[in-house]
Amino acid sequence: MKQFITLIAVFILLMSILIQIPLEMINHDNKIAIMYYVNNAKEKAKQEGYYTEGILKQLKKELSIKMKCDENSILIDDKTTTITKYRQNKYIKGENIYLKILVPFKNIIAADKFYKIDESNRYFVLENVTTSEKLGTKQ
Amino acid sequence: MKAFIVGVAICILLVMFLLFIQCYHELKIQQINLKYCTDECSSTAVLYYYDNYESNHLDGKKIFKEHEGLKGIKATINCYLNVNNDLNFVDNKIFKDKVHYKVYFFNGNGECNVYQDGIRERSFNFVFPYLYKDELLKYYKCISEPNVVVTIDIGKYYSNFFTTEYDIIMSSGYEYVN
Repeated sequence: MKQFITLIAVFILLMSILIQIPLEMINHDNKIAIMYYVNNAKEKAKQEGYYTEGILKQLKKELSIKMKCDENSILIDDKTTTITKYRQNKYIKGENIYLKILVPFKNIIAADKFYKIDESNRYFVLENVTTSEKLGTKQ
Repeated sequence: MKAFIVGVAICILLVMFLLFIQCYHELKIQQINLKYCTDECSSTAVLYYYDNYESNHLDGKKIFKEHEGLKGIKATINCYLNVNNDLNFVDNKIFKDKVHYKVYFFNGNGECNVYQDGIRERSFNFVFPYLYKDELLKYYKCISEPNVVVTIDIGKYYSNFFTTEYDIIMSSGYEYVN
């Protein structure tokens, strides 16, 4: 009986670690997917000259499907370029297209409720910068 | 008591295994981020070239504005890798080494200029098509059009569990097709 009780005690501890291993793999896969979608959006913004509503909407939609979260919970930083930038003949710092996105990332720890860890308000933050390829028209 | 000791030993082994997986996954994420960074660097540098009205001696050949391209590359590295102006990581426990980058500008006039960390290292003449061999990654690439090749070395990866014996390096080339 003593051995059985010890086994149960250890088994609970073991399970919380065991289920963490596949969760790590899933989280890794999700992170790569987020980076891929954000990079795709960046390439589109490069052509358009800025992050249009359509690009951001599409990005949010793709991320919400992948991360199984609400589109409104994905946050776009205010510094994100939403004004058209044109291709320049020389490098100008202010003419970059910038994006900072915060994607909610829950389920970091598998047995969070067992250990009473609060996992709300955790984000995977990505920022990138690119140069516009959009050509301006001469007046 | 014996069962308990064995159980705790298994727990410790599993925790070590878990830590290794976490460190390894973080390394992969950083490698992918570096790949996107090098792609962006080369595509930024290739955008700046002399127009015909700026110079009368181009004869339709593509000559890059190398100093402008280098500015763009540095700004991109600063943003993607979160480094300061001296290309050192700030408050980063997994990367401690200085970032180094090498840029090859294969101009249309058959002149290639090589820059190491933004400083001109050497230049040589070549003829299209040219077989380029990367100094750090040892891969070959055929240069048939004006091209910019960027190779970034962010040093070793330091984690609590292991340190890579090799530097994390990525390379990317962007070709201007006429």
